[in-house]
Amino acid sequence: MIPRDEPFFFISGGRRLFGAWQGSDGPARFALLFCHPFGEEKKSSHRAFVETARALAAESVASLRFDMTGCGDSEGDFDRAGLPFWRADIAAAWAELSRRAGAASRALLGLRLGATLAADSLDRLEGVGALVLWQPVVDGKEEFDAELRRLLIQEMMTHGRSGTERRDLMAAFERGEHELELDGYPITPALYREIGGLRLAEKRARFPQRTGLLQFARRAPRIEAFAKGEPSIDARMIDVPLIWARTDFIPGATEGRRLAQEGVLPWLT
Amino acid sequence: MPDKSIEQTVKELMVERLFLKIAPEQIADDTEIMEELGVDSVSVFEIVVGLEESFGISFGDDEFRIETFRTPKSIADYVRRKLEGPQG
Repeated sequence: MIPRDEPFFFISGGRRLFGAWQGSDGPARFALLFCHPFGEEKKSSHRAFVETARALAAESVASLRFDMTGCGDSEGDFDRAGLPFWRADIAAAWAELSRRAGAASRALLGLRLGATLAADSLDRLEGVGALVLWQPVVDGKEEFDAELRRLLIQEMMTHGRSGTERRDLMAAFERGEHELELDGYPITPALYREIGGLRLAEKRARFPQRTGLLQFARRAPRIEAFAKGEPSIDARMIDVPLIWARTDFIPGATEGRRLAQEGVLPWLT
Repeated sequence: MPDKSIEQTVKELMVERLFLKIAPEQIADDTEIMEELGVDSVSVFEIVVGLEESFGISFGDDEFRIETFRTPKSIADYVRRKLEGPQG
């Protein structure tokens, strides 16, 4: 018998991945797999995932949170992992969710790059009844460019001004003359190419009928343009601070309930 | 666009994008935003994106200077220079 709430390890490609199963109050009507974002965004959003999972449990939704290869408590090194590993991890986690879900309908949720990877994994997963995209990365190359800009701003905060330009940084990186780290996470050229090649729009043919997009309260032109171009996607906005970016905002049970009520349940029921 | 509205727009976008729990009117033109409002590098990025969207300007990579982001007035001064400059 599976305990109601259980931290555990499961296997993906021979690697031990950490999982946290959150059972529901009473029989589960739905079972949801959370796909996390990466780097600092994963750390910042961890509490929001926990609170959302707990709030969903009260609504008869069981869930599985897990750490992908090289992330959190799972095996592997971040700089040796990459999209092929993480795709396999999502598939293994989905199999674990399915094993535990019983008769419950299954759904997939991702945040930021985790959302894009969730969408990217659809053709390898059976029985995805709903897909929920929280502030997805629409274009991997543009996202990477934004990350480089954040690097320049960090440089400015430390030294008073930015001393480099993105094109020089990238040229040196692509020549293998410069290593790149984002918030201490090493970016390999292979990972850069993999993420840079991700386009959410290319995955839309696989989207299930119930696909929702949650934009957190700020202007996000690229996400808005993506949602506008796909009328079948139900796009909504939530007035909650950027759970992946703000280290000074610790979500509690109240935010968990809002994220569950406004950011998950509309697309499950 | 009158100068006053640039300062006001800067304050409004800061409150909105940084989820500040104060009204724009409570921020003075010379408020030291890093010391007094806790603005960090993540927040500066949000401000930059907000300024680019609101005013149609673009920050060059070599234009990130700490002086620019010291107060709402210093940010507004930068916006004014960009709007008046040859490249707008």
